[in-house]
Amino acid sequence: MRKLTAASLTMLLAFPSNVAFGEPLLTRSKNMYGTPSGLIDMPTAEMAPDGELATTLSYWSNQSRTMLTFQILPRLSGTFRYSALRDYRPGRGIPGATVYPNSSYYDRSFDVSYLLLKEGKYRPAVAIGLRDLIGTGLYGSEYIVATKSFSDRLRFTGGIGWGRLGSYNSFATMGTRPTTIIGAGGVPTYDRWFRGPVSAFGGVSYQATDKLQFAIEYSSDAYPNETGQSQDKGANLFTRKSPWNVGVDYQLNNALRMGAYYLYGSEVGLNFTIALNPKSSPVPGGGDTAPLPVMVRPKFSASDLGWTTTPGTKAGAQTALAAGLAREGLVLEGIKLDGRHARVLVRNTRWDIEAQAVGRAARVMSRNLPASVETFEVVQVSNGVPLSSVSMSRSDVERLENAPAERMYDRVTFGGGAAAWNGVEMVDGTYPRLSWSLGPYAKLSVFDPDNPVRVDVGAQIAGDYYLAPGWVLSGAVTVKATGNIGDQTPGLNSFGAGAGTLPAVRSDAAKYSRGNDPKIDYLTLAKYGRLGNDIYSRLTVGYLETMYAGVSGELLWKPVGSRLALGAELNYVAQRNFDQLFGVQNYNVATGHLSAYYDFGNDFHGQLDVGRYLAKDWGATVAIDREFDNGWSIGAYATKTNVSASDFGEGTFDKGLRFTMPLSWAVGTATRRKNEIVVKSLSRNGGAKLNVNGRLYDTVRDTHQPEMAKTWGRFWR
Amino acid sequence: MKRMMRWGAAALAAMVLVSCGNQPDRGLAMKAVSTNVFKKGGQSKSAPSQQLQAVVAQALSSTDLPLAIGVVEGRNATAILTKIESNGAYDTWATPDRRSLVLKRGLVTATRGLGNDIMSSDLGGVSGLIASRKNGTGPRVMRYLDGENHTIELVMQCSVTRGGEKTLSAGEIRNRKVTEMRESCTAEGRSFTNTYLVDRSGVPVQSRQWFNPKDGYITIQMLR
Repeated sequence: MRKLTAASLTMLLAFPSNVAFGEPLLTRSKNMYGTPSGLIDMPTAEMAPDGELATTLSYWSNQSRTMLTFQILPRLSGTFRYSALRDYRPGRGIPGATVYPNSSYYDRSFDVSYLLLKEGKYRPAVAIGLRDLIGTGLYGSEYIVATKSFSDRLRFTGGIGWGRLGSYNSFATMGTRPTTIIGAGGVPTYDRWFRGPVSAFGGVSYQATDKLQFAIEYSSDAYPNETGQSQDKGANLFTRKSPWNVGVDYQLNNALRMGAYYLYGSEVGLNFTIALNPKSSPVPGGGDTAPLPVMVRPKFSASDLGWTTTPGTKAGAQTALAAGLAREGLVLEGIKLDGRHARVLVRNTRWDIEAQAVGRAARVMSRNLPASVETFEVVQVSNGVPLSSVSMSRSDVERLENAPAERMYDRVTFGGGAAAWNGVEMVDGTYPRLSWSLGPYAKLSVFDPDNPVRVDVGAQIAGDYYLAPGWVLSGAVTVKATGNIGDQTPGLNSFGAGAGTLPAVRSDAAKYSRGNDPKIDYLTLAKYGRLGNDIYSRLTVGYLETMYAGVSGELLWKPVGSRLALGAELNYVAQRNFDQLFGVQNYNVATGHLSAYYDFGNDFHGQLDVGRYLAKDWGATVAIDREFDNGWSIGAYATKTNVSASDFGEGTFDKGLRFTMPLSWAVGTATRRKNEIVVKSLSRNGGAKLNVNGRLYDTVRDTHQPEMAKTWGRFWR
Repeated sequence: MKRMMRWGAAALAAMVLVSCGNQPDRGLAMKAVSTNVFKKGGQSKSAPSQQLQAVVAQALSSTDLPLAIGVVEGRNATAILTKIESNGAYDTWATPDRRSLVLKRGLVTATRGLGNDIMSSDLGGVSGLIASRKNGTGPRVMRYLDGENHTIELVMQCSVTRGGEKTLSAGEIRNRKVTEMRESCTAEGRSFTNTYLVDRSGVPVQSRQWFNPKDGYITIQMLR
């Protein structure tokens, strides 16, 4: 448990305006590149508050940039950028070159900056940064920058830059900066870093009030691309008349910030930022209604076993228990009740924080079970399969209701619960049962070279029929109302390294999207089970996903107390017809992976998958996520397989960013719904995986001890 | 050349609103974007208290359980509290819409469903000083959850001072002799002062107690 003073409690609610030495210099301002900076177009050594996730839109003179910036660690910031340059056509005016075919040029880029030195009394903060470090390098530049604060209001920044940041008024040259692209693009441009001409830049920011900030800077970026001096000799996006930029920033509220600038002596620029911090929930602890409190047994009642021989008492207790659990969003699937022990198997339909689900169950049990029952065992089940069990003594529940939650944590026992169904009476009406939904859906496709955003919308009906514990029949049918994903013409507008030569295992998404006839998203029969106290299993057959049908089997080794899990998945699938009905095409593949999952215990989680991918390529996927203990997760992954850059096509290898936002964080009350978004740099055929539903790890892990310990404070919430 | 980003089927939160089905959390999630805690209205400082008196009278006639009125100042919201359970020295008082307070000898030690809840408290000697209407000092620890569900502690030093005597009437309480007790607590950067009107048996018949940084104080008036 962290000890906090009242002052730091306040910081949870309001952004600290001044930060002591020894902490990173913080700013909520973003520059025109979306990176944390109190200046305008230039970087500084400032950082955003740890964990902040910000979207920045900036626009000036035929250029718009959309950025997503994440403060990965207190000293490490990452930015993903999608830029549109109007009438920028690389190759134009260059004899023999292929000219970019479209009127607007769309470019993706990625930046990182790292705080090398924190600010001291006399020493400035010093950061190093790489801009557009992967890919074509439109914005490629590197810098080392120092920022020093004077009082709470004034900050001076000076730095030196390479690449674009060394393109104006350079004072030195460090070797030759290559211009060729490594592989088929999409790999780090390490051969260019810190090479070529070097220039100096700098600026001053002044925090006039809590909300208002002024800045002036000297830019070392000559904007050679945009002014016709580089890949497009005809480019004339603006005229650079001066190296000086001035501007003003205004913080509208906790989330929104706007900036307006006068740039390069000729242009007006605008900047708009929406920031949120996953660490600070709008309603800390959640706004859920209160539980019914623990009911303490009358003294000396615990030895009374008379109820066990009284007809109807047991059934009555069971009915009352099920009703009490239902009030808490917990469905009683099975119960084993004897004189001293009660084991309940519950399905959690409400709580995204499992510790809270178990805490609510314990209180309901204290109110409804006969006084002689001293041991409570709460088993969480999913698809009818036990995931874990938490055992506790009823006396502890009574005694520790008003104590710090970790006192209770010290008293409970976690178990695998594999045999939890043994001797358990299944509650009537639990199986079989149907769960269904009907609603609209939207599929988005972005980063198309013709059209930054494509969307299909329509209706989806989905259902799960739970035949018996472990057995689930699932299906979903969508009918597209309208959309333009199907209008894409793969390969037609390829500029750069092209689409590659692998089988089209993923690149036919447009064909799957065409037409307005009903399509079967998936139609499967799945069997979930346990093959031992530490081993979980899944077998799925049918139309597994929109593009593949077949059979998929998975085993997961995950001891209840372990931060390490190992998995194996083997699939044999055929590519489905484009109409997404019952037929399949003439492409079959055996694909599967061995996986290792590890919770590093410092908010970071890693996953390594090694195996064979859909295009019959062999390789590995590495994923790292920063996980917040409220369900937020922000991470990146990369897959490298044994295909050459030219076979893979543009991008060279598969990589992307992934985000999970728990809906409970946004609405302030518990719900298990969450939004998961994967942003791929390019969706190609190499390193592609099957998208089967019901993969085991996340569901199993959430009920296990290391995960529940992180949020145990919610046990009594 | 295809450049794809797919959002999950439910990526757009607005979609949740118009969905239907028999899944428990479908369609419900957007309902409570801002938690409506302690229904607004009822009593405001300027409004006549006739409506409130009617509510109190009705509550008193409908149950024999101990009753109180709670007013959350940060929300200007009022609710009737009923004592529904006891666990040792801790009593749980709940509103009809499932918000609750835990009081230990009249001092708030926990809240549930108010947002930014006190999860638990250690009141140390403070609670005894207030009950026995004596001057003194003592520590006070209040525990909260932060945005990541971690327990955080607010540790304060408090001094209790005895004030004047008064006579108080409310609900079924008539002309009760009470002593005003003040508890001033400070920690780095924050301070608050709780006040209690304590009767001869040591029970705070009326109190105004700080419970979280967002909504500040809650006033509790016992009605019987």
